[in-house]
Amino acid sequence: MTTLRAESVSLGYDGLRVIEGLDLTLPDGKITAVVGPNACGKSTLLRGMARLHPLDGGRVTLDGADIGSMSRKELARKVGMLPQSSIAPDGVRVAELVARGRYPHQGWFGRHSSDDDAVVATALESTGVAEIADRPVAELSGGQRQRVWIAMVLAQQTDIVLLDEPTTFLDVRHQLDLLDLLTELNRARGTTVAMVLHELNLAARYADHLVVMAGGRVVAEGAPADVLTQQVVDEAFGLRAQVVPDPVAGSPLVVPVGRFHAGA
Amino acid sequence: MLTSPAAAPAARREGAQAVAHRARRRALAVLVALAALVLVVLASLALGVRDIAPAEVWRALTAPVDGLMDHDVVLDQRLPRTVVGLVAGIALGCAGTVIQGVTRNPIADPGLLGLNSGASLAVVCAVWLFGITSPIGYVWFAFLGAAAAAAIVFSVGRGQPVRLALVGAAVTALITPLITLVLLRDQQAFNLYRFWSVGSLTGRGLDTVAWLWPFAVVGVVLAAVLAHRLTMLALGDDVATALGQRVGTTRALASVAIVLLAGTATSLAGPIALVGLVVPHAARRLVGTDYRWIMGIGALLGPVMLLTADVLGRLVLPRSELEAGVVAALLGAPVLVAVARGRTVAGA
Repeated sequence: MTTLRAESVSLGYDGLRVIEGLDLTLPDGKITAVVGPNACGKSTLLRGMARLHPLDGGRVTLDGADIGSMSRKELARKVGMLPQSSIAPDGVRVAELVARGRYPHQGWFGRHSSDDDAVVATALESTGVAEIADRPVAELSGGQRQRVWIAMVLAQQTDIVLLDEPTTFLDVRHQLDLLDLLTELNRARGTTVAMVLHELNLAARYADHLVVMAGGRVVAEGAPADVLTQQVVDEAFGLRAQVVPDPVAGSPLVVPVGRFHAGA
Repeated sequence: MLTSPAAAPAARREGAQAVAHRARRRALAVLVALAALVLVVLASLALGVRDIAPAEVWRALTAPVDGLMDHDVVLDQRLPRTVVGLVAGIALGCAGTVIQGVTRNPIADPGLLGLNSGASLAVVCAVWLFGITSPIGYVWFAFLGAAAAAAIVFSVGRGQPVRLALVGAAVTALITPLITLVLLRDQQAFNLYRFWSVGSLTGRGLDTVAWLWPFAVVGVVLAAVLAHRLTMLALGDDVATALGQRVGTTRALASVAIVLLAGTATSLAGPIALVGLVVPHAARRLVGTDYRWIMGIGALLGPVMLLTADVLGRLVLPRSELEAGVVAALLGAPVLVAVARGRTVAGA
């Protein structure tokens, strides 16, 4: 197994510091969800840990080795990352797109091996998109499209998969569907999953390890039941809420109060 | 879930058939493009204002007789313009593909990035300031002008598609009146520019090609190396980076390839409009989204389009010719409209 760790990292944009000296370890083989208000730096942190955003200070290590000193392809064979800004080129088909996940395993001209074919087939199967492998990605629904992108990251065959807001544009059913899929992959393959999520209650339900961020620092982290308390929600989001047990999963359920409903 | 389990194997079989079908289609496209190239090269040698029998053309190439008019026409006019068309066409096809791939902008071409205007300004300045009027002299100015414009556009544009297009437009807008300024002052520059700016395969001898072909070769090799990277870059900078590509390196190599390829083409044939723009679209339509295939077929379609334009230009007017640049524009515009209606464009 491999452990990805941020060691007192600082990140920012054009001199504006977003994160200062933050430490975070992604527990091996677990699902980590990072939540927090808009602009708290959660996406920036994830991008920094995937080396998509330059560090202003500190380092990110993989089993103790600085990822900054690895070649990009070497890193891409160990850490997969699905950013928010992915583009499906017009006309590209599902299997073609998934096969591009093999890039870090290929040479200059991208020669395809039978090994690649087997990995791509497995990725298509395990994300449930094998039947639509020949369809143009542009024709798919948002939920299917996101599955295809996850299949592409799986084809990368990494022990760690990072996802930046993978559920943002999906309706609630497809959000659940996608999180179920990620849980399945985590359990079946032991893949370490870390994702930025917006939906607190789904994060609390699906994460083994919950990280709550605010203002560029970690407010609390740990098992969702320990972390997601009234105080933490108030501190991170400035939100008055009640936290009750989720009747389905038993995980903490955040019920916001608002101005017009006093609550019990 | 997405289809019933019973239907799945059938769907998969159909999928495999469709994949095989597309592979055949791609191979066929390459063969047809190759055949078209051979045909148009032969046509370019055999057809023209002067009627020369094919057998005589063959004799001119294999056993030329000195002083025989027919043989001189083939060797001194048709052969050089065919070679110029081949080299410039390949360069334009590859340049257009690299530019559209690296900017993820379906309307990008050497003109949009200001390369043509840079080359034009350098050429009129060469005539105006140094009195250089021979092609062998001003091709270097064209090359340097294109490179200088590219250097400005790429360094300010920093790889961001919209920024590149804006800077390219700004550079063109700045240079165009400067060209006019020189042309208004210098009759000789004006006369030369009239013909140069249209884009033509005539008037450049094999000696010019002999100087420039190494640049084209390096450019084509770079384009071939870049093709697979461009396929990944089409998924977005972040995805390409996350998959292990050094996007900055891709951009730098692409800039060099563009300068070499577009510089060669513009130096040889003038600012030919539309070939670099249309060819990648046509190629994408034929072979899909993999830039290794787009680049390969683009390198064939570029000279096919340019030489076809040149040959047609010799035939449409009695006892006279239309410049290849004019015919290429007339040919390219409808193709572009057809592609736009078919909605197969790069990027989004």
